[in-house]
Amino acid sequence: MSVDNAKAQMRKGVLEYCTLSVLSGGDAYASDIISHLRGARMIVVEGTLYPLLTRQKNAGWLDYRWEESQQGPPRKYYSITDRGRQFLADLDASWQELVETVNEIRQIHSPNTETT
Amino acid sequence: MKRVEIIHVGGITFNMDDDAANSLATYMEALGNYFRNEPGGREIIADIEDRIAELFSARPGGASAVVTLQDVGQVIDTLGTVRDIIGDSPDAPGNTSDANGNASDANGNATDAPANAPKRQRRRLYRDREERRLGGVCAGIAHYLGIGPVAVRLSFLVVAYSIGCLIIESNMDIPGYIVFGTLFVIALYCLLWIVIPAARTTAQRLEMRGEPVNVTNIGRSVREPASPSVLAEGLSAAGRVTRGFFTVVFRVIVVICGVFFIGAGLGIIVGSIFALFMQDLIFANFIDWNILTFQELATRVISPVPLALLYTFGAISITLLALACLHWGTWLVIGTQIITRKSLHVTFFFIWATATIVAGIVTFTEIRRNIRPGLAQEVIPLPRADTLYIDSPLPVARLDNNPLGAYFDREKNSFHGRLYLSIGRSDSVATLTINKHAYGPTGNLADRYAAGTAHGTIVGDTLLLPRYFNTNPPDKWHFQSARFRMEVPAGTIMIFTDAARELFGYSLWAHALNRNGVHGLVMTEDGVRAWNRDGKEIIINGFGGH
Repeated sequence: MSVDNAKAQMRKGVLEYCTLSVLSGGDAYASDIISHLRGARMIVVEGTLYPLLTRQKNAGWLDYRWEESQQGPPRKYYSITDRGRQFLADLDASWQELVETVNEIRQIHSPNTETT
Repeated sequence: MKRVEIIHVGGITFNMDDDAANSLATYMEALGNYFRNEPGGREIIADIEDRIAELFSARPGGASAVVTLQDVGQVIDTLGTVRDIIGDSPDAPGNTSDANGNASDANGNATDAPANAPKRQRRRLYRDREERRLGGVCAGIAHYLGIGPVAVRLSFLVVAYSIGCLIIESNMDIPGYIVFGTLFVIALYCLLWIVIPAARTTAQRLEMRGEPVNVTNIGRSVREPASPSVLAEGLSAAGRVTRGFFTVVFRVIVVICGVFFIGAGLGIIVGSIFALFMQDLIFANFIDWNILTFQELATRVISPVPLALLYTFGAISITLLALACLHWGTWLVIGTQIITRKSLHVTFFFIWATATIVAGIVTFTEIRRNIRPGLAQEVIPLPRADTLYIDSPLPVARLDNNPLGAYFDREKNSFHGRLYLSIGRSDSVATLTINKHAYGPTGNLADRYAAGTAHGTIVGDTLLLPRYFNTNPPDKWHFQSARFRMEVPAGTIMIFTDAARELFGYSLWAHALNRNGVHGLVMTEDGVRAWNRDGKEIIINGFGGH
């Protein structure tokens, strides 16, 4: 498996966590979220995000409202729901746990590798 | 001219070029097929559609500007193809294509492993007008076979030329082969040019490259003009994509052509080295080397400065041609270029072109020095005698294998031209007519060169036709030659020495004369009769007509 492929797999795993994190900082419409994620190199193309947002909305973690745009069609503003916040907190905890575990394993099994 | 369609995207009306509208429709359909089975699929599609409308509105020209194929391509770039989206999404349904094969339609994510690469669509043969040199025939064939256009062009020349030479009658001379082979190449190319349609639309260009016609590829091909395909690329691509029997055959032809080029290159190099040191051997059939070397002949025919230019630039031209042949040959055979830097290619080409042009101009001007025929006629009265003796002092060496019919005599600083003698009947006095020929830059000069030669002396009743004649100017040879016409009244007897018999040249009856040991001829009212040394008469057909 190539590095690109591995990275894509890792991204897939944490993408949901990232969208929720972005929205926990304030309401945003799809393009905002995209530019955040793209800046962090989490996604390559915008099309990835739309199905994800719809799924998260259907799961009750997100909500949205329509807002008029100065140019183009009205925009869908997403906001995180209470359930979503709860889920995000759970994810935060698991993420922390995961990172610690991974670091631990790396330190034990690859002594030559410097960890930061 | 393009048709513009009115399309609603995300509740906004856009004017779109019809190809752009088609692309967009195909893209949306691909997305629709992919998300159809997903919960909330329609909503996803609607969101994407809104986003497309937003992107169209955000263009520099705003929503009112006509949406072009480029715009659609950019939008697809931003949003990603179905494959991009599959590759990026969490818990996506995987890479398997649905019943309509739309996942494979969305070909083109660079991060995909080759194993996952969708099967390529069947290619179609078009002429590629974008990468064309003439009509794009070879570039089109290159796309069809999935190899580099340069390989196809070189192979086309070699193969078509060879076929052209093979299909004509074998009794043609070498220039005939060259002309016919060249004409065949041109004719075949023109035929293909007419028969193969040009890839005019983007869709046709994609078909030509064997890429499925869908919006992803249309967008891509619009954004990035076709990358220059190299043979190596084509070969490695061919390893992945089986292109069938014809590809294999063509590849074999390419390798054969490569071997041909390598052989030609080595041949030129080896031949040139041999020519440098062993000219006597190579040109033995043309020049009589006991008398004149190749350089001596060249210096006697060509002026010093043009000769030096010819040697220098000819050597450069031939050497570079040989190296180029080796380069092309190895390229065709192993698929990698020895010299990859393009600037070097260009430099070498210019050096070669300059050298070849200079050598060509020198050759041309030198040929022009000897292009116009000239003629000078001289009539010498012969003594009134019953018997004429004809002798021709022989040159130092014989000239059996010398088609030029000439050599240079060092001591006398003169050229020998082949002389011919014919006999006719005169009603009154006996005469010897000498038609002297020469070549020169103009007709007048050629006439003067011809007149500058002297032939034939009469001593008593013996006619001496020496094989040497001095040239004027003596430093350069202008292909001087002479033909004698002896006209004698009926009853005159002509006795030939063995050497003089050779003056009759190589004609059929001259051969018969020599074979039968003819010693003398007599002119009669009916023609010429001959007899040998024993006094026996010999019948020689066709003799009188000469």
